[in-house]
Amino acid sequence: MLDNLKLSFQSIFAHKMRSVLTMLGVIIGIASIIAIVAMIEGQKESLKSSLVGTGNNSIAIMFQSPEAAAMGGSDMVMMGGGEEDPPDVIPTITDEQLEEAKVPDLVKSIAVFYQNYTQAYHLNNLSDSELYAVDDKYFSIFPIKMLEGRKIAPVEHKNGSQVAMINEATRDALFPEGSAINQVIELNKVPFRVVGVYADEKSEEDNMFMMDAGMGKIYLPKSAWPHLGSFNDIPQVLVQAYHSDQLEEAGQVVADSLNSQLPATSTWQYSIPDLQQIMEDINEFNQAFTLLLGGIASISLLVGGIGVMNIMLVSVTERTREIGIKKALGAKRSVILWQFLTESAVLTSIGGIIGVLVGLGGAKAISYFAHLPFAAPVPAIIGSVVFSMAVGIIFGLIPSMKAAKMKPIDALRYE
Amino acid sequence: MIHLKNINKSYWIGKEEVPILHNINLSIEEGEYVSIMGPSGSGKSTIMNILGCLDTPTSGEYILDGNSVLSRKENELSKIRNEYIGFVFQNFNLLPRLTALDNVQLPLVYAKVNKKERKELAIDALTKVGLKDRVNFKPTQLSGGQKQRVAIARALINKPKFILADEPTGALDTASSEQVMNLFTELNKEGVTIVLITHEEEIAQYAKRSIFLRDGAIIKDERRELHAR
Repeated sequence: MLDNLKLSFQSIFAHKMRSVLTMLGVIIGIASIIAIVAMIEGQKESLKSSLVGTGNNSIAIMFQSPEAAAMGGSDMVMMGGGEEDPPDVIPTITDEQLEEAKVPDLVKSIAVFYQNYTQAYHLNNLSDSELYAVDDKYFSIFPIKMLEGRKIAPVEHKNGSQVAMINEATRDALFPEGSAINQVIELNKVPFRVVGVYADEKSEEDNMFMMDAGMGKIYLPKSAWPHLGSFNDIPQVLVQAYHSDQLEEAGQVVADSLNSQLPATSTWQYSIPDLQQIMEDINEFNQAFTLLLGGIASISLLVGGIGVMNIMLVSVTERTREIGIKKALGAKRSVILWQFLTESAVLTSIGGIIGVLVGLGGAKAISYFAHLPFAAPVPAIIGSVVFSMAVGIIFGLIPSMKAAKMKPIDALRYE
Repeated sequence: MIHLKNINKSYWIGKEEVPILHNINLSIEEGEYVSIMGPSGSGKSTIMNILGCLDTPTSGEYILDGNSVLSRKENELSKIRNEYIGFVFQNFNLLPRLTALDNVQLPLVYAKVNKKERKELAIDALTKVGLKDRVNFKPTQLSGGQKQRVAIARALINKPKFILADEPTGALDTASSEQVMNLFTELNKEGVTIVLITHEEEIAQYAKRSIFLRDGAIIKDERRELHAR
């Protein structure tokens, strides 16, 4: 077997040009499969993590109109009201309600916060910023790293102090020179004192709320939200589960509990995004895509396989004499059969490996230039190499059998 | 050891039967050095193919070392060739991409001898034909005479019952031919049975027994008391 492999490599490298041209079909087929699968896998990963806060097991509960809920809740951008009519009842969520909703061993933590978009001013400097009015629980779900100053103190959370933590982007916009700490910024014409600057990181939170990194972001105590005037009083709820597979269950439990506290007149309800539905939609789309492109790739592999068969037939004819010598010296049919099958399988396997590399490189390049996510699809890589080997064996069978069946006397006489 | 009994062979060209061999009866004993001579078309290649188990006669019997070798399957014939017969061809028939050592080892590969033993035996055989310093040369790096000596080493490696040499000097110059023929004489003295197929009288002279073929029949079978040289 080892000798066969050695022989195969020798004869493949003896005809480099021919071998590469023969492999081309397989290379193109495998490369396109790998590139497609890599792009799809990457897309899936990033969609999944944007829908489900993968790292921290959290899910956002939305207070939605019945129409929005009927859409499956997949429109995450709608969160926070958007351009819809305001709800007829604006709920308030008390600590008691939260305690009640917190099912042991399922719900680890619930954070309620308010969010809106505003322009923050300091002197003549302006920053477009997202405002998050939060409490301490929020940071247990989404931890932040302080760069300067300090976090908002518990007492400030309690008292509704007009203090703020800003991110790097906001600091850079509002305080191009000099320190931000203890400076006063104006949010919706209300002054807030900056107590800390925290590090911008491409976080799970950004993923979850589809935020652009580098956008201004400001945290306030939740209790200070009423000072800003009622420009968005719909509370946002974030539920953290103990285990990622209990995410939906935890979200549903909390949503149900909160809904039971709503006045009977409220048409708006709390609901969780239908992850199952979303994932199914994505999968369905991907499957259709995979099927289509898989079909194209299969055809190119079929054509490649026929090319391999053609070249193997030529190779068998060229080596008629070699076959005759080997048979005269005592080689059995199976020896000759395996020699050519190995050669054909090695040829297409090399093609497959080159195809995988080309495909990964191509996908990487596309993801780099088009800013699309990319994930190396390990099962597809292994499958491709095995499959290309199978192509070699299948299409090598006829030429190899032809070689094995040659009569030694005819083969020796061949000029 | 080798017994051909009433061997007939004919080919079909279209619908016409062309007889090549008529009623050949021939026995060769162990240790003999036989030349089979005849002009082209006399059927000597056909006899050589039948003796070498590369072809089967239309009728007749071939008994090799007490066993009938006719009506065997192809794989069994491969095994017989591998164990009983050492081939030396006019055009050497070495595999061009293998070194001398690998070429010589080939019959042992098919006999499933392990790698280490294979290599030792191959080096021994190459030493015997005087090519110890050429083991890693490829056929293209060897002269005609050296190539034929590699082929003889390959024929010897399985300790065959006999060596079947088909015009072994046909592609060689006089000096190389002499070298090769002396090697055969040497081997025969050590007890190796040799069957030499040739159309050259001079070459046939090396053998102790000469068989003459004409039109597919044996017309003369003579033994010499002494070697020509």
